[in-house]
Amino acid sequence: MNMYKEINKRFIAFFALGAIYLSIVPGLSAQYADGQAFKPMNRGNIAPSFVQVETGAQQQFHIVMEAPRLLPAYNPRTEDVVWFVNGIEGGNAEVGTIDSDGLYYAPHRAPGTNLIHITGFVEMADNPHMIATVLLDGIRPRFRTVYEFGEPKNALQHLHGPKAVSVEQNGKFLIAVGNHILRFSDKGDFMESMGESAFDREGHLFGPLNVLADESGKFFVSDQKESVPRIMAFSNEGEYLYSFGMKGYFPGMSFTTRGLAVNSDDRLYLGDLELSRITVYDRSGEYLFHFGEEGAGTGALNGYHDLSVDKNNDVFVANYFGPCQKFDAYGRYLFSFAFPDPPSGIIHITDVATDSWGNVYVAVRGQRNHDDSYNVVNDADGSRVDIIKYNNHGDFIANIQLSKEFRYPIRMTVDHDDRLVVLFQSDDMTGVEIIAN
Amino acid sequence: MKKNIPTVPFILLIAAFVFAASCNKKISADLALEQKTQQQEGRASIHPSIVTLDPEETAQFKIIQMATYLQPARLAENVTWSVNGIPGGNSQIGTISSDGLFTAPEEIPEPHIIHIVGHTDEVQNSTQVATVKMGANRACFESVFSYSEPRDESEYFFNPHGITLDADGNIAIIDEVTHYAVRFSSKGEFLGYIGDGPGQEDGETYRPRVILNSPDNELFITDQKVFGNRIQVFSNNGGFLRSFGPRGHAPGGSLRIHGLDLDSNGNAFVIDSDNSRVTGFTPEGKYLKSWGQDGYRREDFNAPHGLVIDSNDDVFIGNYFSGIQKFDAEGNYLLTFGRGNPPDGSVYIHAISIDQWGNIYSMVRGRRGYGYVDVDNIEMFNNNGDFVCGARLSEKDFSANWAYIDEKGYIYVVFAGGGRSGFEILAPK
Repeated sequence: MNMYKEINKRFIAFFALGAIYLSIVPGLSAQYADGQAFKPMNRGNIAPSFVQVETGAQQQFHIVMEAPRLLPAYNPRTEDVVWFVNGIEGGNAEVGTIDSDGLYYAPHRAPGTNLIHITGFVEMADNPHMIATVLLDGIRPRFRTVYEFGEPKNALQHLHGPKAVSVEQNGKFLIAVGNHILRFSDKGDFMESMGESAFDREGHLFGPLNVLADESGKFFVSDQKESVPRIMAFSNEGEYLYSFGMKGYFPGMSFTTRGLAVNSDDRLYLGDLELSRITVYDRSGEYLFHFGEEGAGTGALNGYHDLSVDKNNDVFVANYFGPCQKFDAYGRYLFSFAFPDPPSGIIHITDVATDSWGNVYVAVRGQRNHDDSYNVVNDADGSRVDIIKYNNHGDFIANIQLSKEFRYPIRMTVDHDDRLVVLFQSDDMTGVEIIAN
Repeated sequence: MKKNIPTVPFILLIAAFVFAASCNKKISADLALEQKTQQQEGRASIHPSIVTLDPEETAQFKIIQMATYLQPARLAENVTWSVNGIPGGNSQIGTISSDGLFTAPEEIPEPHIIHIVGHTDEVQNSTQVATVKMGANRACFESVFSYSEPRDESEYFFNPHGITLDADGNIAIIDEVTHYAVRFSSKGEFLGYIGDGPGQEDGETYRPRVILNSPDNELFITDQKVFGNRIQVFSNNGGFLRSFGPRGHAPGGSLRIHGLDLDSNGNAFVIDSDNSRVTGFTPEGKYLKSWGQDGYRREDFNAPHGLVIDSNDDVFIGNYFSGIQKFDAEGNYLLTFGRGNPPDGSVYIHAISIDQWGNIYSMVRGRRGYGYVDVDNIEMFNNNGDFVCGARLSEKDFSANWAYIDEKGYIYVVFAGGGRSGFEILAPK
């Protein structure tokens, strides 16, 4: 009898523990490792986010903080907003001026570009840099290729199947190719090859898919290794420093990576094509949390393909089946843009990059054919479109073409002069185009 | 003597339990994904969603079947097009070809807001509606009748809160302060009560907030009795029929219903401001399901104050503080629009209404709140969340509480402000 009592006690304890497990564990899994998952959003928007202004005319801008719980949307105090025009506090005669209340006075003559960025900086906001786009006289920017470098397909020396590109602080290019990282000068001259190895072990590159140069000079590489951590940090000289992130499906692991970015809080965002999720580490490699859910619904990832992080630490995600999505730094969905537009518009999105103004570049493709070729995306006038530029709020800014037909962007990034850097491939050439407004 | 319980089997049992729990979670996650994928599959959108045209200008419309899970977007086939409900349109309101090419009429019609409807059975939201505005910067509505009484002297009106038209075209109004449900002719003649007047019993009304005339010409009234059901149903002649929806926090219960609509199957859905959730009931009044919660994510509610359902069974939720959300019939979040826009725009949304084209009418207030009407009283958005136009009542002190939109696009508004309460009719122009 005593034995049955003891069994009963143990079973009661067992089920109690089980109940606690079931009630607590799902809750824990729903919050982030740094405990900020349930921090209320404190976001703002700039209004209008996109506007056409005549030269010499005025335009009022407002910062609107989103409604907190049970409180209305509100305007921050005048003294809590600092206004900039193209990064100049208060602006100047060339780009226009803006007063402390957000009233912008456009210049009487357009400066070099008709594209002006108005920034309302609100330190207390989760997204402190709220940037609007002004098109002076409604003239949309035109983009051209400033220079390019590459190798013809029939005489490839280095660029055999490049996977990713990054730009270092000094303007040099890092390109992930084969089982190594190549460095090219800012003029496109080949300089050196790093990490080359056939070994599947730490510090050796086996099949790098992403490369990211950080501001300290070191660079991160995510690799396709089988049995050792897949993300590695290297010094500027290519010396192996440390690694993290095992292969696998469990939290903190990754499978086929694509998209690598570091935000201003020293968090590293790594996307995964197969797992359709984004894993967040600190810069030392400690796993923090992940986000992303497969699906076709709002906020779900439909063929995740790449990511980029802006200066507010918001995360832009490209979905192969569209659209492009914006999440906050904790993975909370904000909005979508760049929706598919068949028959001649966007069908697929293959890459995304952001510049220092939070503008978003989206690489687009049309319908995929049976022979794995893609139809061309055309604008309303029938012109070819390879990349579309949106502002930070998803407003359309301009269409961009690569310099030649039949070139496809493989990966994109933005250099420190806000020029778009496109790693491209075509039937006869592989290389990099640097595109500027 | 106490016997030792074998430890290994016990540990194995615990391991099995944990494994089963994990599997269960995995299965639940898989089911959730499958369900989400299925639910989200087959939606469509119309392009362009809103366009301004001059006479005889053309616009090409198309229905896009949005990308499903790992399948690309494509053009919908077998679309039937109509203009303001007329297949192919006509010379007065414009014509549309079988390929979706709309040609605006030679003269701007009245009303000048035209609805392009594309219908295809291939998708979940089979009816897509786009908006054509003929001519730029034109007012959309004008007041054609206004009836009001001094708030302090009126027997029925202090803060009229809900309005609808009954089966005979008369105006039915409920007042949340006087507790009355009354009927007026469109000329302002008092016609009598609905139900048994103020009180706590079935058939009586206490703090009523919503009144709705169903397709079966039954009048649904939600109220806030101390005890008892929250939803009452009356016949068109005002007799009590039944009630459902108990008071409470538990699933199926409601505290302060501030919006009610019926889906295409006759199920009643309500939004409960205090429980911050949507609750659905079968036509028989049985609890069906609930969804939604407070929070900070885009799909969460912030003092939800309105609920309407369109012909696709998509659900719109008006939040007093943070705009209007659109969900599909299963509660999957789609988008948000009409967010607060201080200092010059609307900030608060008191209620939302819907017309036959799925346009959403938002009864808004400026940043100074109730009684300080310094913005439009009503903002009209199309079914895709695009702003169409604003409307104002005849007096600047009047603040719109609720609206009903009839088949001709007339807006019947209950209002309070400036010491008066009443109703007003706005005609489309």
